[in-house]
Amino acid sequence: MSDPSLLVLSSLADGDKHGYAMMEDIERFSGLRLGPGTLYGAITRLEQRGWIRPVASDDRRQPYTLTSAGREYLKDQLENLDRVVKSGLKRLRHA
Amino acid sequence: MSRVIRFIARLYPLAWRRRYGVEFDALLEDVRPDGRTAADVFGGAIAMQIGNWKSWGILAVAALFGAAVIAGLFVANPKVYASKAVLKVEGQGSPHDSLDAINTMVTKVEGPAGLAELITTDNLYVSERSRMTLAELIEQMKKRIHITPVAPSAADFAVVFEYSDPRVAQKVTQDLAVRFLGENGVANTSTTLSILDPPMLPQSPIRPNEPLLAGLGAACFLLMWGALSVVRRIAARGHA
Repeated sequence: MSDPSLLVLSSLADGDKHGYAMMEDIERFSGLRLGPGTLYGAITRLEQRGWIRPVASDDRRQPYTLTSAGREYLKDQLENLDRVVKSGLKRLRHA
Repeated sequence: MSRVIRFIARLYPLAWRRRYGVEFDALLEDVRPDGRTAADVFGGAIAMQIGNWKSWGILAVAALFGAAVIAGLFVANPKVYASKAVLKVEGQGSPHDSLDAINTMVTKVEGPAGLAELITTDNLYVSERSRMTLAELIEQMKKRIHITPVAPSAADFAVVFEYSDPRVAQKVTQDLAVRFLGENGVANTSTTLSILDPPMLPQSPIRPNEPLLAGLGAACFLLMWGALSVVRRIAARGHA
C-alpha cells in the first residue's frame, strides 16, 4: 500500500494530526517516509473530495480530521485491500 | 538548503499558497532540509501547477515547446545554398594527361592564396571573421568547395560552392570557374577548359532538411503534450 491518500486517511483514523505528525505516524506503521510535497498533494485532494477537513487550531501547524465520508471511503478501501491480501496469501499457501 | 526549499515552495500555485502556504511552511521548518525533501517539494509544486492546468493550457504549452524546438533547430542549422558550374575538358593527350592537368589546376585554385583573395574580394564569412583566423576560414571554405566528375567516362567536371546566400554562392562559383580557366591559360598543357554550364542561382537550400526539422518539432510537441497529460492525470489520481 503506497497510495499517499490512503496512508493519510489511515493515519487520521485514530485521531487528528498535523502534517509532521502524519509523516512520523505513516513512517511508523508503513515504513514509508512521505515528503512534504507528496503529503500536501494528498491532503489537498482529500480535502477537495470532502474526506478530511482542517480542525480549528491556533498553531501554524494545521491539524486535520477524518470526515464521516472519509471514514466510509477508508473502510471500503481497506476491506477491498484485505480481501486481496487474504486471497493472495491463500493462493500462496496452496501453490 | 532550507532557503532553497523555501524558495521552491514559492513555485506552488498562488491560490494553493493562500490556502495551505502557512501550514506548509510550518511543516518545512520541521522536516530535514536535504536534497530528497527539496526534490519532493519541487515535484509537488510541478504536479500541483500542471494539475491545475486546463486541457487547452497543456496543449498551448506543448505547442509553444514544439515551436521553440523548431525555432532552435532552424537557428542551429542555417540555410545553405549550392551553386554549380560544369567545365568541359578537351585535350589531345590521353585521359590520364587531362586528369593530371585538372588535379594541378585544382591544387592551385584551392590554394590558400587564391581562397584568401576570394574571401576578401567576395566579402565572405563576415560574421565568422571575428572568431576565426584566416587559416580557419580558408579550411572552412575548402570544405564548401566540391569538385566532382560529371560522368565516369568523361573528364568534364563540376565546381560546386555552398554558402548561406544564394547570390554569393553563384558569384563565388563563377569566380572559381574563371580561375580554372585562368590556370588553364597559363599552364603548359594540351588540355583545354571551357564553361559548359554557367553557375545557376540556387532556388532552394540544400540544407537543412526542413520537413525533417518540422517533423522533429512536431514529435517534441506530441511528446510534451503526452508527458504533461500523464503528469496531470497522475497528480489528479493522487500518486504524485
